[in-house]
Amino acid sequence: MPHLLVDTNLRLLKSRLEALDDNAYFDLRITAYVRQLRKIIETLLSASAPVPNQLKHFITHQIWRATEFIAGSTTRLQPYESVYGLQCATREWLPQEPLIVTALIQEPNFYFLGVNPLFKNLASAGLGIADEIVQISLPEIYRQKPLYSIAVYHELGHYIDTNFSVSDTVLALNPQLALPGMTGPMSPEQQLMRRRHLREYFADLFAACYCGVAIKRFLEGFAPDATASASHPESYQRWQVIQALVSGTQHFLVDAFNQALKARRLPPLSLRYERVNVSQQFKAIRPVTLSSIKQVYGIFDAAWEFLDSEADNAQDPWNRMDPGEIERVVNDLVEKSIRNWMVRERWEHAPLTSR
Amino acid sequence: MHLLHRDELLESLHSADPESLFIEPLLDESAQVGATSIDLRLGYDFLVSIMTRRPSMDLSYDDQSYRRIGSHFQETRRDLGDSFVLYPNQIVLSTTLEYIAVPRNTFVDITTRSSFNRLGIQVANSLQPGYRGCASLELCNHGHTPIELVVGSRVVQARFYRLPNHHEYLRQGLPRKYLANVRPLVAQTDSDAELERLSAIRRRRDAAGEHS
Repeated sequence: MPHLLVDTNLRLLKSRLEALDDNAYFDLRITAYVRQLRKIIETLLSASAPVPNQLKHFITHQIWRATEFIAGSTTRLQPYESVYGLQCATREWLPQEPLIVTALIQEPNFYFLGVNPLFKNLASAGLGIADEIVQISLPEIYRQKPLYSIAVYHELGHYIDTNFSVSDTVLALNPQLALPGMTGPMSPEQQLMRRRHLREYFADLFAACYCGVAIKRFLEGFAPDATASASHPESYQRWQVIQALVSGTQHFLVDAFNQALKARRLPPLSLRYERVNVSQQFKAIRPVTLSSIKQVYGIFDAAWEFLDSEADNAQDPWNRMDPGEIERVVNDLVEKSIRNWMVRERWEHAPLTSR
Repeated sequence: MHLLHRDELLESLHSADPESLFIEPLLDESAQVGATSIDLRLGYDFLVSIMTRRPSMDLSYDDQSYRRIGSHFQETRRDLGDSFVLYPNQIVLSTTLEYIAVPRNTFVDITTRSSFNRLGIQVANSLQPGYRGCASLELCNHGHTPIELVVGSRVVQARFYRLPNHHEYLRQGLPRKYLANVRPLVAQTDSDAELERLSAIRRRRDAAGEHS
């Protein structure tokens, strides 16, 4: 009975979502989203007319994936400070802030998982789900390591690309575009590879808009000296493109993306961060007092530079710590600096009313 | 020792000297800095003690089935303004909202504010000269009724005592267990080298068949 398992899966997912509904989320819209998913399941299970099995399978799969991400976004697990920066970054690109949900995974990988457009349409038109959901995964061991979580900005770049077809627009505007390392006529496989590489370049550049060279520093350590693959360009080429944006040097890929972004009426690739001087405060083992969202983004670049310099040549009092301690303290100072900014912002904008 | 008063506290807080007193975020300076103390707020991270299958928290580390002290606590987070329910006799570890850098010639005493003492909550902590980090708050409700605490409310007060000499918090070869922490930590007694020595003494005595 092929429909038996799919119905069982739906019931199991309903039960899981009910349990998640008992959890707390910092963004109350996630609770509402959980309830809407439950409602979809209830509708499917109680439909008077039989729902085609293939459709049931499809919806079950989509809800299953969403559940995985929602489960990692409870107040207990969510990498709050990292998600806060992402949420702020979306304001410039999207008319409505999406729900950002994070799955914490046990593998050395970050990824963005798009919601299937058919499910998105079904959910918004047929079932009344208004919120857009952005699903980003990161290694659980980096949950409290904001400097090692900055690849989530790269993943948000994938979401923006997918949502607005940025890379596809680049190819539509420049059908003969040759990427570094790719010359001559291309086979269909090579064309697919070009499309995938283009998407990676865009995600890198998007992350560099917010984190500067820090994204390169992280990726150099996370995936050092990777050669070109079917999905990713060679590391060296990626660093060149990031470096060009950060240093303001002209690069044909940056120009091509900006041309596509303009055609899509989106803001251009440009540096959104303001460099923060962390040195004096961090040397005294104190967090930095940030004064704008641009500085929230800017702390990543400055803190990575500080971490690299103290790891190579630690000065007093950092030379009294072992390398593991240095890394832990720098990450904690970054997290606390961001959190203090969030606390101050809320305190100063509290909607006070006289009782 | 000299107890610092309001003017001295403000002078140190406003100083650009990286060795001066640093408290951040100090959300309402005029309300928080008192005549001889500074009020500090409840932070947003909590470690809540839970019942486990182990009958006790083992601090001897001899047992093969030893489980970390952290396994007796569950982590949870709240946002500014959220409530946190403190149940009678439950141990909850939290921190101050503020990150504190203590000058090397200053010692800090942290106690519950009078209003919270009257509810049955007593906190007692101290910060060594040169300390860096959020101060640990070991919360316990000694009353019979659960209490809803509010994240960001002023729960404790810190008194600052100036010492005649400077003291190094970080000394070469002497790692500090709670340096620059920004979230609550369970007791790090397993890193006390002397416990290993004490266990070795007991093992040798047991092996020799001595009994007290």
